[in-house]
Amino acid sequence: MRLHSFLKLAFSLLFVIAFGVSCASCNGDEPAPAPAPAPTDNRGFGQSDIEAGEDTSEPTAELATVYFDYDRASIRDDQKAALRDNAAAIRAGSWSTVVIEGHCDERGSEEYNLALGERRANAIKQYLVDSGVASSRLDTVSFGEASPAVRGHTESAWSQNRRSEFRVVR
Amino acid sequence: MSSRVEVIALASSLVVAVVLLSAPPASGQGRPTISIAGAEGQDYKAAVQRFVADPGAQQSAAEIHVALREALEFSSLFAIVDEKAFLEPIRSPELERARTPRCPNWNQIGADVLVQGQVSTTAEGIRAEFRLWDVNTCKALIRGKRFTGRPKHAGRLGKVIADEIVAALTGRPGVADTEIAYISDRSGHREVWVMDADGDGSRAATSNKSISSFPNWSPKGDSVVYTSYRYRNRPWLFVVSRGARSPGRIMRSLALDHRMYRGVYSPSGDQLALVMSVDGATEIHLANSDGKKLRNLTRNRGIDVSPAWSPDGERLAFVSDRSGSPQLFVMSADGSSVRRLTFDGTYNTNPAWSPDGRWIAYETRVKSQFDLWLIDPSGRSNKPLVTHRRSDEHPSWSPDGSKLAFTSTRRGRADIYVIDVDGSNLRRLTSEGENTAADWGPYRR
Repeated sequence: MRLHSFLKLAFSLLFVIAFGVSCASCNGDEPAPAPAPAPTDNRGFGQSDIEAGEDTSEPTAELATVYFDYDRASIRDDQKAALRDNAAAIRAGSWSTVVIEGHCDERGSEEYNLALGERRANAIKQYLVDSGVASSRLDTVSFGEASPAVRGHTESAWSQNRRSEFRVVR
Repeated sequence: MSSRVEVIALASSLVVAVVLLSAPPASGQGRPTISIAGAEGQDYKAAVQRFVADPGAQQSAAEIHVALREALEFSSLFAIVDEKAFLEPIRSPELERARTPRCPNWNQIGADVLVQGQVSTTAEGIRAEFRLWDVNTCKALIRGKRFTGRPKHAGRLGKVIADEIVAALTGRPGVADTEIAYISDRSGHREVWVMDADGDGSRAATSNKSISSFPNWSPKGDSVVYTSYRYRNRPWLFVVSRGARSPGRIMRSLALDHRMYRGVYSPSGDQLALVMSVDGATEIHLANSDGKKLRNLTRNRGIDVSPAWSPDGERLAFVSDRSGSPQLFVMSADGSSVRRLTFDGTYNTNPAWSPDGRWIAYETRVKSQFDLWLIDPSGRSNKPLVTHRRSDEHPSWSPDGSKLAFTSTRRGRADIYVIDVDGSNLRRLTSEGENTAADWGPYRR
């Protein structure tokens, strides 16, 4: 019985709660996490080893943004002229790759919107391929609702955020 | 035992040790002899004496007192008795000299339980001890529990004590000493942030200066997996670890033309449910947490997203638009036995399985905004949890199942709120920037 109590105490002593610790001794290639405003504690998170992954694409004024209807990935009739002009510019241009971005408005789940943004980018890609652009020059990426063109929680903001933008790699 | 050792290794010099000074009360004898007031919360009235402290620990004692009272109220189980009503001293006696309290004097002012305590300066920092009395029977529910830590963590000691008191009365610890990960753009970029469950102590966990989304705690609470566009401006999975370097980008063996949207740890932590698209179809996949043994759980032309594990790891709730609109489905963790769960409404999403397995919280579109509902996994019972003319989205359960964190735009912009599972005690936790995607972490000890 005494031994049992001792073991119980010993186990209790091992019952230790960890506060996270700041990573003062780490030397990462990463910048240290930004200090939180008025921290009440330093239960911080450490740095991550993230290999340099550069994005060489850049925006271009030569390719017009294309807009979508809510929860739809089909090309709107009123957007087809702009998209035909984009196709002509890509065919004539010297860019090695054109990245088609798919974006959504903030309504609905973020994950569903990532998938919807991908559908939109893929719909644009298909339209461009059908217009004679080589598929090998086109890439797609969905941002879902995470990169709105306009901030705000109104239909006016939403309609400008349901879109595809284009970036180019020279 | 191995996980304890690992935690100790992580903890470095900042450690809180728990020492039971005597055996805990036998279960069963512990409950105060008062009637339970029902589901409305505040079942107990707690009188909390200020902890007596040596001269070097006065400030810590004051911080523990404030944090303890707030944490007891946060549990929704307690109302705090105003100390102006005390018939006995405001300050606790020193515990080694303390006798049985004059319980009738506490009972008379409406208290059900009395908390006494003491804070001492030690070589390493401070030590807090407390005692919990049922003043109706005048028996100690907790005779002596001791916690040590740095003075700057005095507030956390108060929360830990409150969670112990909740455990003594309900059989499961409170969640004041847990954390919520979320996304905030207050720095100008969407980064992962972490705060205490009551909103205290917000701190940035990432500084990627890119888009970050979907933080998800590892079941041990030592790291958070999230999605970021930091690498080549493509969505991919990353891990940030508490107090330690972490590998950063994970699943590196997979080709970058896999669109990696989200990872969700299985309850064991051995596997990740992945939302990923290959060749234009967004599907739920499963892989070991090292990226090996990747396989599809869903395979169809529709969008399949939002995997939510059942607490036993046997099943997953998820969202699919295979029937025309986004609806909740349930499947076995091997992808078999798929069953549609929701049939009302045209947009149901973001399922979150309760820790006891009995409910799945989710959001449903009403006109152009969202409400939170609860449905049981058989689909027989379906009831509203949070309804408001503005949107309430993305529910996440507290580890004891008593509360949910969620995003609401009821203030005109997105903030994280918590609410009791019975719909009471709504509380806003964030105030700066737009705050979304709350993921409530596990118990920390």
